[in-house]
Amino acid sequence: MVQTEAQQSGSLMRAASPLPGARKALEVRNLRVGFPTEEGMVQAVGGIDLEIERGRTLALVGESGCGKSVTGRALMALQPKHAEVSGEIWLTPGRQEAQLDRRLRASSENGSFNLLQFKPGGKEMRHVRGGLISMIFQEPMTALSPLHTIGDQIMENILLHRTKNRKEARSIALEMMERVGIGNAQRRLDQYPHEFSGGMRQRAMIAMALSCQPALLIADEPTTALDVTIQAQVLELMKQLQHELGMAILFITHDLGVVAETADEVAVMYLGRIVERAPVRELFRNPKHPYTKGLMRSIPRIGGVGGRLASIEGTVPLPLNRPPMCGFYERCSERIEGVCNRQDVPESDAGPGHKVRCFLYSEPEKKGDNPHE
Amino acid sequence: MNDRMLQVEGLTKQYRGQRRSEWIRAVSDVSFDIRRGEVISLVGESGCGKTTLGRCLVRGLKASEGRCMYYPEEGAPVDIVSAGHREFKRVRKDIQLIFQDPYSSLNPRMTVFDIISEPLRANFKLSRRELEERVASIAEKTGLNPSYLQRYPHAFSGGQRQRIGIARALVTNPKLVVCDEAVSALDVSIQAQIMNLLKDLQEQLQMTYLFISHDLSVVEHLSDRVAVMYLGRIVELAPKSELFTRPRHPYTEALLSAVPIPDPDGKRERILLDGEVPNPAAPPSGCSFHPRCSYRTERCALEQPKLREIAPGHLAACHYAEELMLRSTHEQVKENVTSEAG
Repeated sequence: MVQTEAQQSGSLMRAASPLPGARKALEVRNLRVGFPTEEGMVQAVGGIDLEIERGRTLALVGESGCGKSVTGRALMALQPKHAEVSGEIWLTPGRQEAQLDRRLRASSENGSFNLLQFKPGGKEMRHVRGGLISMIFQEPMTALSPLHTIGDQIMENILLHRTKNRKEARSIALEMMERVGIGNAQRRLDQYPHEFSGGMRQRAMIAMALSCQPALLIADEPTTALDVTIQAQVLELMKQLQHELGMAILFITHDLGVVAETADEVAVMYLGRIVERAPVRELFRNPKHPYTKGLMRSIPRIGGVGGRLASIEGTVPLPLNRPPMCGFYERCSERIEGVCNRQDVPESDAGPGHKVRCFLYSEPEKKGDNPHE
Repeated sequence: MNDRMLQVEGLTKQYRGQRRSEWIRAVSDVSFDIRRGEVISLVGESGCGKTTLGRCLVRGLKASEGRCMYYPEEGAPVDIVSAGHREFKRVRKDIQLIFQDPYSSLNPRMTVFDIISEPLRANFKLSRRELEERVASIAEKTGLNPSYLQRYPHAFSGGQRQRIGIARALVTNPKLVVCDEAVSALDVSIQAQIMNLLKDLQEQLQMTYLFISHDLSVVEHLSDRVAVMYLGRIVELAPKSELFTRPRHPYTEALLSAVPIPDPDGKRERILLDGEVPNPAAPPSGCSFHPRCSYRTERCALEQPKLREIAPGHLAACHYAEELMLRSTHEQVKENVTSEAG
């Protein structure tokens, strides 16, 4: 154990020479992403807080439409043009300032900077994207260009961020391909995505994402499209590379099995809000929020007792013009009428590192304070 | 009454490859039977032929070789592979299919009523009132609000759409329903609703399910018997509890071990398979699993193992099925659960 920690910090030093003391790679405060439509504002992300330490994995769990992918994209400023984003996204690359781009250096505060101060299409964000934050997507076939060789696609990122020398870029790409376990890399570098299988494509995506040693890797359902045996290979690979390179990972997924195997911390998202966050063991042993509890009960488990699964009735409502209230109210079996549907739910402490957004664990505000009365 | 509902013998489905001389066997020489009233599952990774096999059984695809005898409750058995159009029509309504994708499997230009009633119109001569009654009754059973039947599919969520697909399959009172990844595209909380629905309906309407899935935890939850497929062949077939506690084929063992367990303390030594599923156009010699198998010997590369009975009702296609002591994740997880309780 001690030895592995030493190994980890050793490779960290080589990889990115971190600043002493800077532990958090990412800190998100009150992030909101809204999409104006004819009927009103669809608040896909309604004010969330996240923190990830370097070398750790935070799993963002939720069902489709809960805003988890929108969150991931907003961190990279990849939201659609008409989206309205507010809040703060603090990234700490954990490198010496000299290694950073001149423009980024100018706006850094103690080695961190707020990504939302940059224009989404600006030069600063171009440096952040791929250089400091990378992303891997669910569908490796649609995320890769069918018209360019795998090698050119990996090298594109390297040429943008690390070197201007094509020969050097090629050798870095080659090294990355070998590192992610693509055999015969020299030949594979000149092949096109259609010549790769699904698992191999995902490995190539990972090679591309990690080629510039990002401080943060956003993995948006990276194994959902893969078969279980291939999924096991890819998860193992990601773990090993995180160990070597020390990046923080934001793992976006809906699969609680994958969460249990990869995450250090978990944030459960529902209707654009984080309803519960806790260290992984705490969350699985001691879920507090009725939604989290419902999710845990509704998954079939190998070796579990048969019979009926406990399901959560109803479906996720549309986050359109919703008054301030608990998003889970309509489906919740423990709802308190007149409380949960009358006001916004604050986050409260439920143990060490365990936060939950539910009135079962916190006192509601006094009625008189409620402007909607 | 015959206990056996469907008997598949030597079923093969092959396609021509890119070169005319090349043949790709999606399903090769598969034999098994389906008993009346059971839930039997086909599991395997993508490309193993499970969907092709399922389609052959409902005659969505025409098998290249083999027989597939369907035994109706009344009348003579029908071979689904070779039966003529008229002969097959007699049993058509008994066998239905539920699709994976609730988005692409519903025609966006038909109302929900038209979608659900179409199999009735194709198979029976019913008056408008009878049609409406049958559709309303199945809509109620599948949890659809009958007042929404005149809407179009786009107005429904994924889970609701899957209910429409299920209602369409069950409206003819089928005896055998092939569920092809019927819950895979759904979110967990919705998945649980649909799995419960499928289970309830099976008991209510006394149907037999062939459940095709890649998700072992879903399969374990629903099935009575499980068949594991690899590269077009069934490599293991056993009662559910047997398969999960005492796997006899190395591929089953690896598959079980690869399933992520939703329990952070359920860490175990994982068997990581090397490489990927080989190309079915050029399958390996001998046992098709041998290049990835950690127990392989010389014999495995030369001789193809037959699917044979290892224990009562437990079939496996491995030369060493008797000798190998394969691990099950089942027991390990159980240990964790009991130690937690204790």
